[in-house]
Amino acid sequence: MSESTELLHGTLDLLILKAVSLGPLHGYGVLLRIQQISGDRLQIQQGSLYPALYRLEHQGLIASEWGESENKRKAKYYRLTVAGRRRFKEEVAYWRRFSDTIGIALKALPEDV
Amino acid sequence: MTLLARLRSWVRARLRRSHLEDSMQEEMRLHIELYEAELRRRGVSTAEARRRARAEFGSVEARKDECREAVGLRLLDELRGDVRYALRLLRRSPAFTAVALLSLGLGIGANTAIFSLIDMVLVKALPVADPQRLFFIDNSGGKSGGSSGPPYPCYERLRDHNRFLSGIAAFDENRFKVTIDGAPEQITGQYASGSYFDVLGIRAAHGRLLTPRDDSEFGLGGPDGAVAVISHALWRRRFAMDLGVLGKSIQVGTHWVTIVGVTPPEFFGLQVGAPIDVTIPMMLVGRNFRSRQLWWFSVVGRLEPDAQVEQARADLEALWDAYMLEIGKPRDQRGYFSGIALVPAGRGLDALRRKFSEPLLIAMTIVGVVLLIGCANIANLLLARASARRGEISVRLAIGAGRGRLIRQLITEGVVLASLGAVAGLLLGRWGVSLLLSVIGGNGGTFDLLEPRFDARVLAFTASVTLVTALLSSLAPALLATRIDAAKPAARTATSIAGTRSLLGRSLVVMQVMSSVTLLCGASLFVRTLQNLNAVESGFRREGVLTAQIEATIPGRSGIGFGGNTLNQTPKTPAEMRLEHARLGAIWEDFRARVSGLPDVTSAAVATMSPLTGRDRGILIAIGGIRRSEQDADIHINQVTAGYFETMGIDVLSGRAFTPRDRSASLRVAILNDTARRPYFGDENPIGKKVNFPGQRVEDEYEIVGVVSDTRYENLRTADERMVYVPIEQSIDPITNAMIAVRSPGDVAHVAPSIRSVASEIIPGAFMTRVATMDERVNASLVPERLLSMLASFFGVLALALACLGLYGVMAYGVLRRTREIAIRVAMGAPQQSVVWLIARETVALVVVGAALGTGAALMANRYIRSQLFGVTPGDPLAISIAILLLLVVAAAAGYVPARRATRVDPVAALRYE
Repeated sequence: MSESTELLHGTLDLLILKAVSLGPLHGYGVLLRIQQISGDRLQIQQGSLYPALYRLEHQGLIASEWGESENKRKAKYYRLTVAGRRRFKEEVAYWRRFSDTIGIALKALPEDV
Repeated sequence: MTLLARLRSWVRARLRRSHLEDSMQEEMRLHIELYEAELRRRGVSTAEARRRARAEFGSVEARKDECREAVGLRLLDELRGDVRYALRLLRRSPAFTAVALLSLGLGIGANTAIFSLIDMVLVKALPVADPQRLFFIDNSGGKSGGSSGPPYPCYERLRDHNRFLSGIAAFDENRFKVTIDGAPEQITGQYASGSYFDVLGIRAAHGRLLTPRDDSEFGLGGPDGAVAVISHALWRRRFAMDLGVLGKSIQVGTHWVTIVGVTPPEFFGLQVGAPIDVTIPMMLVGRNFRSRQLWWFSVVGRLEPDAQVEQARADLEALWDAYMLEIGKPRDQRGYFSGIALVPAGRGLDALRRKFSEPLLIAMTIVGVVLLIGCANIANLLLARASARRGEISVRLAIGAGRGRLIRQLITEGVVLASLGAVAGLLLGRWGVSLLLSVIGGNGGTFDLLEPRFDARVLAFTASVTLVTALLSSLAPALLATRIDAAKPAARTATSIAGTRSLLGRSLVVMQVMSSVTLLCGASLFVRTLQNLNAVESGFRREGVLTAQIEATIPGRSGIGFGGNTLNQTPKTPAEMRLEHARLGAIWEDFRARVSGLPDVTSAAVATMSPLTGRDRGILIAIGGIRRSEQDADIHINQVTAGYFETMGIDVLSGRAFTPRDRSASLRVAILNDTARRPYFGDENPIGKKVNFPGQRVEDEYEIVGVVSDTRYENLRTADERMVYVPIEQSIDPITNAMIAVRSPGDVAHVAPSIRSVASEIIPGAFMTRVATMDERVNASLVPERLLSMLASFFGVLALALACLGLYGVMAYGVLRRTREIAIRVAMGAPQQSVVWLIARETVALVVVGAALGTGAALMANRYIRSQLFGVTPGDPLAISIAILLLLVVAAAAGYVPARRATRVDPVAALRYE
């Protein structure tokens, strides 16, 4: 069994926002960037990225434009919009609060109760 | 922001659909390629890399679908697919489609038509806002006196100091010679204060209406000069509804005025029957209206929302009283006027609504029920089809289609069907409204001025009716059809569906039978009401009589109102008044004589009241000098020329009729109708007795010379009222406005032009309006009844047809379902009749249950229609029997065909098939 972790439901959007916040990326690039910044510990199904990308673009959180990929092919590059940056900050703050809370809860010992 | 972005993205996705598809394709291909290259770099063989890249990406098409869903396109795609599928199904079964569309089209069309009529009559045809709070402010002289607004300076005082009115306006109706583009014509119009339209709550149809500024300078008007507002009718008639009419100069009487606006089509002024075509400011009145003792115009006021009528009256009377004292008229010297009365002004305006609101609401209920019956039919047909499609549906469920998805598809089918029905319905409805208007319109009534037009409100109504129809007819079948357990063998589920289906189907049929029985009962009641009213003893002969209203403009008198509402400031002596009445009466007597001499005229007469014209005059009577008790003294008066009874066909029961010898100088005579004779004289002979009319201008004694039969004056429903007739030259009122009635053996309508020319020759300023035969008047008075009996009959029969269609469907399906059972019975030697009975039994049961429920419903519903009936009681056994008999005959036919088919079941073939 590897060290890889199943994605928690709903966190893919956050990771995509994080990935593109570091610089414009095409779809495959987003996947690679997430794997890279998570230290290859996250399992993301190859194709599952796209519905999320389209949803985020539909919500106006990311925007896309056509550019050229590393293999000289036409590629669609995604970047964070202003609304996306705002949302990203909110989501990060929420995530911190959430994980702290869960962390505290899980640290509880029988004596504390 | 994000909402906007979402919307933009959705729109972009819709508009640039191919762009979206391309970009998805391109993006995913690149992804797979790059991943494949990555795998190869990691040392995976080319073929394996290719395979793995594709496998790990998953189905490209499924991903695309998810992306489409993410931008909101999937629902749309599915909807489009469903609609296309539904249309294909409809095309494939034309018989089903035709029946369904016809029932829905008729149902939705009828609802649309009646709704638009209700919208026109009950909502839009109300010319003024909140008419119940409008009152004429009249100077009154006791219970039965004539009336008039106060002198202008007094009006100003009332206007500025009253405490309970939210608005007050003065107006004076008049006939003007109006010249437009050099072509003059006689037009009814009015002078009105600047507040007039505001008080009435009327908004301009085009341009603007009068404002107080327009009415601020005597003889000039206002800052915009002399302005005029024209009626919608005049705008249409003389200007072809040209929007450029504003700013045009026309000549009204002696004034050059500029048109600034058009009143809405439903506005006619405040007097019923005298539509106002042009309104100009009060300040243009040629008379010196600064006079403190001239009573010459009318005043209308709007009561404040929380004020009481009596409160306002007392307040106004106090102001008026102070004014009268100031002009040197102490209470005992005011002659005719003794106080202020508030007379409801909205009644006439509201007449159309009051007359039609109930019939139209009944009609709406009728068409609503018809639509429900139609829905039940569609539901039944859809049920039948759903069970025919159970194979398809169970396969689709088995391969993983969601039940919700299937229900959505089935309901989409219902919506498609209903929408097609709505299109048919709109066409039928548009035609139906025109048809209805032609039935209830005519005779120059308000309906002629209504324009049938389907505006946004009507369309919104139709759309919501359509949606409700679609849900009502397809929801149950959709739920039922998808209740298939995919794991169970299709045949077993089919049986259980069939059971539920036939229970639901039968309930629907019972509902249909019940509704159609109710409608048929109503229809026969309305038809009989109309027959009864047509047969009612009206007291006059309606054939061959032409009537018209003639108004005179006699110098020194205004021609408006019943007895003229103008009074000179100095009260006349009774002798002077008698003289004046005689002078006016003589003109009418002359007119009558000339008209009776016209070719083709058998007889002619002039009267102040003639049946069914809506005119009335109530007074008090004293017999032998003794005034009757309050209630008993009320009587209606009709002031007539010689020949009246003969012309109208009213029988003289005893004594004599009036003759040309009953002049002003001869003995004052009166004639009573039978209803008046009875309470006053009982068995005594009234001839030779004396009566007089206390409180009138002329209080002379009249000798009774005859008794005539009763006549229905107000309408055909209202029981006869007491009536006294006096000769027109001996009238108690100054008659400047009367009806001419002419009897002719041939086509009476063609006499009208010659009457008009005689009138213009003899009567000063004669103005002839409301020309109609008595027959037309009777028909016009029966419009609501005709409307109801026509609609109820048509829709009753339609409902019956739809119900029988439903009955037939359910029975035919029942035979099909029970083929095996029937085959076994036949094989076992069951005789033919018993097989027929097996099927017919069910029909009979359904019909009997439906009819019983329907009769009950009819009896309950009758409470609501009672006021519309005449001469029939709601529980009329004949009406109910007719309805049930009709139902039984038609239902027997609908049930017989399937039963016959059952007897032709070939047992061998049927059982082998199973």
